[in-house]
Amino acid sequence: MSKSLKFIEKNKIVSVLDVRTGHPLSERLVELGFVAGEAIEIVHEAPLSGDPIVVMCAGTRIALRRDEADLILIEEHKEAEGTAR
Amino acid sequence: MSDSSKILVGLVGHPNCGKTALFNVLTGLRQKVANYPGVTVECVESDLRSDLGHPLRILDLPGAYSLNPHSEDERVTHDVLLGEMGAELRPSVLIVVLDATNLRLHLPIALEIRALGYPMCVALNMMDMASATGMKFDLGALEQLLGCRVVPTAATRNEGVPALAEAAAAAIQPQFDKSAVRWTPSTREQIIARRRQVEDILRRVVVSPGHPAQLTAQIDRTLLHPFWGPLILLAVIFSIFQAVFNLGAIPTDVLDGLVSAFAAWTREKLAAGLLTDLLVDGIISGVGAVVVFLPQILILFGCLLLLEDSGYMARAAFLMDRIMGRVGLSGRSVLPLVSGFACAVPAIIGARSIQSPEQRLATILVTPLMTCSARLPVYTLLIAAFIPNSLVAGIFGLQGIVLTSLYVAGALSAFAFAALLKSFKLTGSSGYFLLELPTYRLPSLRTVYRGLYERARAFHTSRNAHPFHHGSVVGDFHLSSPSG
Repeated sequence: MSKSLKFIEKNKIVSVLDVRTGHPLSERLVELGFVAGEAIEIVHEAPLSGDPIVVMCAGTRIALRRDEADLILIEEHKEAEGTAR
Repeated sequence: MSDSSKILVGLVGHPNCGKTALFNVLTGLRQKVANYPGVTVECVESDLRSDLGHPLRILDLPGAYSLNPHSEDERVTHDVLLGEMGAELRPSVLIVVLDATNLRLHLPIALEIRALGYPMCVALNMMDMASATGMKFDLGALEQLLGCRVVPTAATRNEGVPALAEAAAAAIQPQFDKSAVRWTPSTREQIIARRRQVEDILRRVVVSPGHPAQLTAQIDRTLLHPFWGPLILLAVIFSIFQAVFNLGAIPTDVLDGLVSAFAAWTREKLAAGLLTDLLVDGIISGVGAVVVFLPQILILFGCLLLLEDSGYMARAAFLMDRIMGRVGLSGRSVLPLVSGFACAVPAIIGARSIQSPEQRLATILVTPLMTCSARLPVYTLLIAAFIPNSLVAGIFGLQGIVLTSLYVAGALSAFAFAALLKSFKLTGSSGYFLLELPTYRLPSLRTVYRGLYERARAFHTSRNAHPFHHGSVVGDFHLSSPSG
């Protein structure tokens, strides 16, 4: 079972493995750039609860709730090059 | 309004590609704009500026990330392009507007539209910002790969507009059969394949990637700061209300003086009687009571347009999403709810961008509870009539406190009603929130001016007819009381 973006800490660069299917937003997330191999990073967390978050993905800032972040499966890789910014 | 014999050109692009700014420079500021009746969302159409020399009509379609619709506004774009809104709304040529500073995100829709078979050209917009960061493109290669003309534009600086009009006119194919356009929803494999294709195009087209501006990241570090972010948001909202009531009071007082002077002058010139009372106390004060509030309403709309155009509204949505989520709304409900303070009609139209149908319904249902500006004249008149102008605790005017309370009560009731809908399980089970935070940019004064002009026109015509009714009720009340 691979990890999702939901519990990844802020400012850690990880790479996308896949996006879970079956959610109304699944395909939209792929369209916005959450494609296998893409380096992404949580750059902001909302005040107090830390939810929603802002993710930097392929040069685009995307705000989403942690429940939607759970759709994004990731791989923790130290060598993932910092292309998220 | 616009001449239907002219060929219709559709403007397509993402929500943040500067499409509306481009529409404004293509059509000029004095053109009349047709809003399509019977459609629940705005689809704006106008003639191309006559000095650009082509008999074309431009249709500004709602922003869409792709043709797979995820919200009502994207559905409109989808439906118009596929002829589901009727043949007369279907464009013959498309201008695909792309943000040159973020082609990786924007290029896929150009490929998707090219696959539909529409004659098209591309506006590579925000070229000024791309050049400023050192980006360079091989436009010839891009034209070759996309198979259409690519025109660099900078809508906010009015650059590239004649060339774009020229390219759109040149793209017209008289033999093109719109009704033959077929579309099937993209599968995930197709979406990924398009992105691969985009990477391939970018490798051949981007001569220099430039240094992406860090300004937005720097501003966000402050505006989205866990502590300062919410405080700044509160300060922004507070300043808007201050501007509306304090700044707006100056022209309002001047207008009020003019209306009173006109009423007095009319009374002096006419013989005393029932008809004069009707004219002075009913019509002049009634219409006057509405006109007097125009400055405040324009300030409110102006502030909202500035916030939206600069990119801050998306940040406000992000900061507010948690609170909104508690009552079954989403961060995307913030713009409609705040716009509800100005006028509920455009506010409800603004709810079309909310992706989740349940959150959209909840937003639409509670937006009218926000105190819209058209109620302001009525509140003010009633407060002036029934609340003594005394001071509370020595500094706060009682009338001001009552007015503020009415606004707060409106907002609270909207939240309470949303919570009620959620508790009855009518909404709130399938909420989600996904929003691109656009790059900050200086608001285009042209866009704000155009927006204000449209709102002012709408205010004294149909939309805000209701305060006039209230006004005349108050006028009738005056009329029937002997003291007048």
